[in-house]
Amino acid sequence: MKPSIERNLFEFIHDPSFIDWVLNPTAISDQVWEKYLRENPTRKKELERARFLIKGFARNEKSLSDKEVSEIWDKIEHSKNSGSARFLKLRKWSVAAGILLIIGLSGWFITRTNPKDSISIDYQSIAITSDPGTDIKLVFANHTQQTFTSKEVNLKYNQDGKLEAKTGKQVQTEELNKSTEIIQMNQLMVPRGKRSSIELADGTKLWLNSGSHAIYPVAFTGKSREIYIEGEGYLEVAHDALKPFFVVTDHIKVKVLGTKFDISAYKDDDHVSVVLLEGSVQASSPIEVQVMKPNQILNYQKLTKKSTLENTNVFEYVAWKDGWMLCNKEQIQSIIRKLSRYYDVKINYTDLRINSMTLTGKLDLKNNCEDVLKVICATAPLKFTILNNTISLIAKD
Amino acid sequence: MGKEYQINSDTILWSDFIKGKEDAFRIIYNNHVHSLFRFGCHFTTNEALVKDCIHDVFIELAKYRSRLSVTNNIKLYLFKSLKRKIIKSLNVGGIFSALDSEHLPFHYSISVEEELVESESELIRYKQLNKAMDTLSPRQKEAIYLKFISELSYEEIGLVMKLNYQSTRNLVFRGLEKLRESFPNNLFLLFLHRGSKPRNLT
Repeated sequence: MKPSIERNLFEFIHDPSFIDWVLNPTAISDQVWEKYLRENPTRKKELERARFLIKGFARNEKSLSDKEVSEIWDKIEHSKNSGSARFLKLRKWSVAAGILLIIGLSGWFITRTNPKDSISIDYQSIAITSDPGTDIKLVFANHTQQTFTSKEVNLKYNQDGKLEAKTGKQVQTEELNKSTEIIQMNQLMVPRGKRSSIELADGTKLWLNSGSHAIYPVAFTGKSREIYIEGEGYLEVAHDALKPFFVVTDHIKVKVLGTKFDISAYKDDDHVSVVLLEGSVQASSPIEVQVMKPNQILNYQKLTKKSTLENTNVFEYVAWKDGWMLCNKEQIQSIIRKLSRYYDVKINYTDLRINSMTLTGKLDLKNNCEDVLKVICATAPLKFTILNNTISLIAKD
Repeated sequence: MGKEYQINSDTILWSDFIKGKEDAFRIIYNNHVHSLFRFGCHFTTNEALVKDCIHDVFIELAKYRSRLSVTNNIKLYLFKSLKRKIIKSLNVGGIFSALDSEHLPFHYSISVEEELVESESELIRYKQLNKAMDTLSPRQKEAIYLKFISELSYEEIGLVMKLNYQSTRNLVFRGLEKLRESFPNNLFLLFLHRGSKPRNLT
């Protein structure tokens, strides 16, 4: 739950996310509550009181050691099989006093594996917003970072808590801190001119296009799965009817059970679009919910908050993941915006006639930017010049 | 898509268990043994007795598995069942005569062990809180415990304590009011930023 503005002691201690934070603080929850205090400095006293109370309530809890847990279990198994449960008295339990609070609390959180149904994470506060620079950057839950200088990186999160990072032919393995007590979030930032893919712990595959940022848990432990995307991503979601998958963007949220779709939510675009290839998804904006069918595109206008749904050739929208750009009467304007993201170059034009030109065909993005522009200029009445890393497009008379 | 139905994971686990899947039984045990043990230890200092009762709860589950009805709230089922077993065992021991749910002790004190505090002033405040805790009735303590440590809802607490919703809420709120009164105003300077060291101002 996102902390609301005015709260008294009772409201704090009746908020499960507050209790979670007090008993089991994480870097993320620390940030959330510190932010709350910065914005609501007058609540500090009440918050401190509530925090103190909860800490106090949890201070004297007894705990079972792993050994005791298995001893009780063995006796249950034994009694169950011998069929004389009532008469088999348990004689002696090894005493494990003295291991009080710390282990007790961690045991407590490990067993509490039913986080609330709808996760409510404040991605804005988690997101690393520093300029991504020119390298692909992976940020771990503890905020350590790893940069990749290659054009592309392919990450794979295994269920046993291992992370494989593949760059070209090189594979690097990372042992992740496999703690089930908190949701560990990783972030992948793909700058302009680069692309990446991630295979998440549930088997879902995510391709991230240039200039995109994803935040996702290392393991999906709750009743639902949720990731955050800014920019463009193509997803093949692993089917799990009991754990719906949510993709959160700054404007709309998409709920899926198992499907293939593309979502484009760039900050500098005036719209967010969702393109569905297979299955069914439900896209919700603050004011409406739309259910999509395969081969449809949903366009959400940020300004009006309205969305439209229409049929389309969906492959145009996802070709980027295989290094193609399919254009079907696509405006040069829009192609140029995509190319400048993809290759991280500036492309300018001043001639307004260019706005009315459209292009149909297939561009091979595995070529360099210049080659792609040559193809465009051979098709449309255009030419280009390159000066100081800026490309100018000129209409031929 | 019309109306949405969300299947509760407890319902599935429970029905797997009733069908005789051993994994499900083990998962139920692992998920709940710690919180059951902690809850139980508030009724008695005899940890072996609590372990015996947990054992009995699970044995009974296994024994009557085919006769059990559907539940979507395993935790509540187990908490109720453990409390019943503990009351029964305490009565058998002859320590208390005719102990019932209403007159059960509930030991709940705040540890004032020094190694577990961040500062001297925090220790003083815990001592004060502990004193205030002593003024609560056992039922108030139990309700507060179930609410904030076991994280049960007011409805669930009512079922464990055999009270209606309103009485349950009243127990918790009156208890909290008493604790709040005990707060000295000037002693609230907890360190929110853990790990930030005081700067040396020389």
